[in-house]
Amino acid sequence: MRGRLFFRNTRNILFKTAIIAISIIAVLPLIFIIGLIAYKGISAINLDFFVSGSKPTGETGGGILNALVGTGLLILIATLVATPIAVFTGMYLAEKRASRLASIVRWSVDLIQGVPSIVLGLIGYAWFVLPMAQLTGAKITFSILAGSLTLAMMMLPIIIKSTEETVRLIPYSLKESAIALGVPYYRTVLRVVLPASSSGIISGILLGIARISGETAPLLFTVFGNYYFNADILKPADSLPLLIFNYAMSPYEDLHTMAWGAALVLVAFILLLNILVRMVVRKWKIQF
Amino acid sequence: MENTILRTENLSVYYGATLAVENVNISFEKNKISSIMGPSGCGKTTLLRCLNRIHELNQTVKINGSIFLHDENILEIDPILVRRKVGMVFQRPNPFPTMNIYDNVLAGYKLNGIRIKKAKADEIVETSLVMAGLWQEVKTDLYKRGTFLSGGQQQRLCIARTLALKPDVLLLDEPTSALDPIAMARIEELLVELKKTVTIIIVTHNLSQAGRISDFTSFMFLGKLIETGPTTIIFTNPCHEETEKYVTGRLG
Amino acid sequence: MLKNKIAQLREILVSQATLVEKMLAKSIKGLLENNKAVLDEIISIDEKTVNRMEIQIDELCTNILALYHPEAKDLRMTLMMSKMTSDLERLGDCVVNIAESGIEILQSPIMYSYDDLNIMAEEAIEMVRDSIRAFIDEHAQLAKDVCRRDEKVDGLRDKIMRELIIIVFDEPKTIEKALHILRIANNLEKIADVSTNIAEETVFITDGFTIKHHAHDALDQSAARG
Repeated sequence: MRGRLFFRNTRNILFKTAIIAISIIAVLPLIFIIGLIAYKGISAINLDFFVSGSKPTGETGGGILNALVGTGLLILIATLVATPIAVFTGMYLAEKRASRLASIVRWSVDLIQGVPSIVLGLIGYAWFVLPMAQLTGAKITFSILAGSLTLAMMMLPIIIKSTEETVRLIPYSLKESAIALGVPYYRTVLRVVLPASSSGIISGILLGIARISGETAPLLFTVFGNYYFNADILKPADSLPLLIFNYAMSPYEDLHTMAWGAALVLVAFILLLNILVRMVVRKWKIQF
Repeated sequence: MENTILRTENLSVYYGATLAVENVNISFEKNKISSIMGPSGCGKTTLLRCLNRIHELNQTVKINGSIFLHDENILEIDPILVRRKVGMVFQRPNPFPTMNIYDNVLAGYKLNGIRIKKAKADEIVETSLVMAGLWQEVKTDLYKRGTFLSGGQQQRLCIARTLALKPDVLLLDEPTSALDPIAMARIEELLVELKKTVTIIIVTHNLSQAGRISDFTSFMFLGKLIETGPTTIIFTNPCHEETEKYVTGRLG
Repeated sequence: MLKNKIAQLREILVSQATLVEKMLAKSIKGLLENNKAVLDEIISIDEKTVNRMEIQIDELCTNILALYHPEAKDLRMTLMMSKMTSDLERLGDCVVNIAESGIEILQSPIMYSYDDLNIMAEEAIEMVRDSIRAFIDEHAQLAKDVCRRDEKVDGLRDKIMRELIIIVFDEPKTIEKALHILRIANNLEKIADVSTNIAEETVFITDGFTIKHHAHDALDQSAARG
């Protein structure tokens, strides 16, 4: 009897140890990646790095200002475009679960999420770059605007899903109470349901930003890249992923280092966003 | 009844093809508490939800017949206006989570974009909270979110919120079934006090509650109104066999 | 709500009890002072009021039980008040009997000393008063005391009966009057009995257990228990 108990206990301990070990193994790559990037990129980080633009070929020094501005603008416009559409779509899906249109929309959202980013880039080229070029007689071709719109498409599924999930969790009685006070439907949605889902929506937006900040492929066909500083949204611009791509491919050692530095900045940014999401959820989430 | 404030005429309600309420003619007397009781699925909640037209949230609902409030057919006027005269409190207490207590009470005004001066707003908040028996407990915490309140207090907040619009009729759908007995007793006392100002119609499956507080009781079964009358008669000597069976706990 | 209803019930019961007390006092007074009008009043007006109140109290008790499901002391109070009102109604009937027989003997000459009857009557009135007082004040000790005094009244009734038998034996013509006097005595004894019922019911309300149908040792037991 005692022997069997001992055997079972040992099996328990072995099993628990195995689980912990495997979990550590799963986390190891992340630690290595961050570690490597930090190690390689930290030497490039200084004030100059953030405030100066690219130097002409051959000169040392310079920074990632152009790329930072470009990425910043891309994120800003993409968010501004995607958020209203995604939030209302998400709310629509949460309200109408069974209708035909809702099923089609839900299916389309899943589809977009599955499209490879490079294909989305091609689509962005076809929809936003070419027509603009034709309309303006090739005056406006690649642009931040085109890039933002393409990135917005990528953000849509994430924000839609997040919004839908959060709104679904809101009890029906909350809406009913507002309606019972004589509040028209649209006001109920805008002033009761939306504020109550704010934590979910904001997390969705932040996660969407985290997703698009590192996307490179779509930008290749839409923003194209720019050596010089540009803040005009109708012109091509540099962005962090593009910079990393170009500098890493170049033959210059110091550019490689700058690429690592830029990679570190990018990864740190995404990490920060994820932490922000946790904080938003903890502070603002409304439990029902 | 001479003092009728609300009545239905041949009211039938369908959920799609299913008949939930069949040809109900019922009147409710002013400034009294009327309760509607019956086993699950008898149609009492459906009936109640027609009285402020909130049944319209469900697309499959169809209604035949009329409902008269002060001799005006509420099925023919703007539902928003109806809901301001006929308020409703639900089973689960649900103060708006993103608003503080002060704003919650005024929600009927704020969410409807009705502007009122601060002095008037303060007065409405205090009066409504006093009427709901909650003023003493929250008067120092008006600008906090309502989440720290207990279940019973939250329910009283919801009642205050509805009373702030000064409705003629207050509908309550099993308002105490989610509360502990002490909170329930407080709300019952509150309702008895409130009937002086507002007509109260309450749906309940709690027989003792109906006995304790209502002046008139109606019994529904399988969508039909079986019997209605003064509570003392329904509980001591009902006319119909089904009513007797339900009241003595032998139905079903 | 329940509290108010029970208070309302109590109020009516106390009015009924007070009325019955007054009726009894009036009847004895009417007898001693030779006042037929007062005795008529008892029969035609007072008794009807007492009966009306009994019906009112019965209805109210039924409603309270049906609508409020009283428990513990509230339940005992409601049930006992329902009984007390019938007791009081019976008391009223006894007083009417006394008044009726009183009217008869008023009209004929005095043949018998009313001293014992007087003592019985006083004793009975005291018992009625004390049992009602015990109920109003929820005074269990006073109530138990009332139960003990029943014996004395019984003894007096027996004495009067023996004396009347001797008188009738000597003078058979006096039988009609004697029967009326005996009826008065019997009803006074009944009044004392019913008072002890009321007292027992009061003890049930306050103490929660019944002392009915027990001998005096039950009273003493409960006294020992406090």
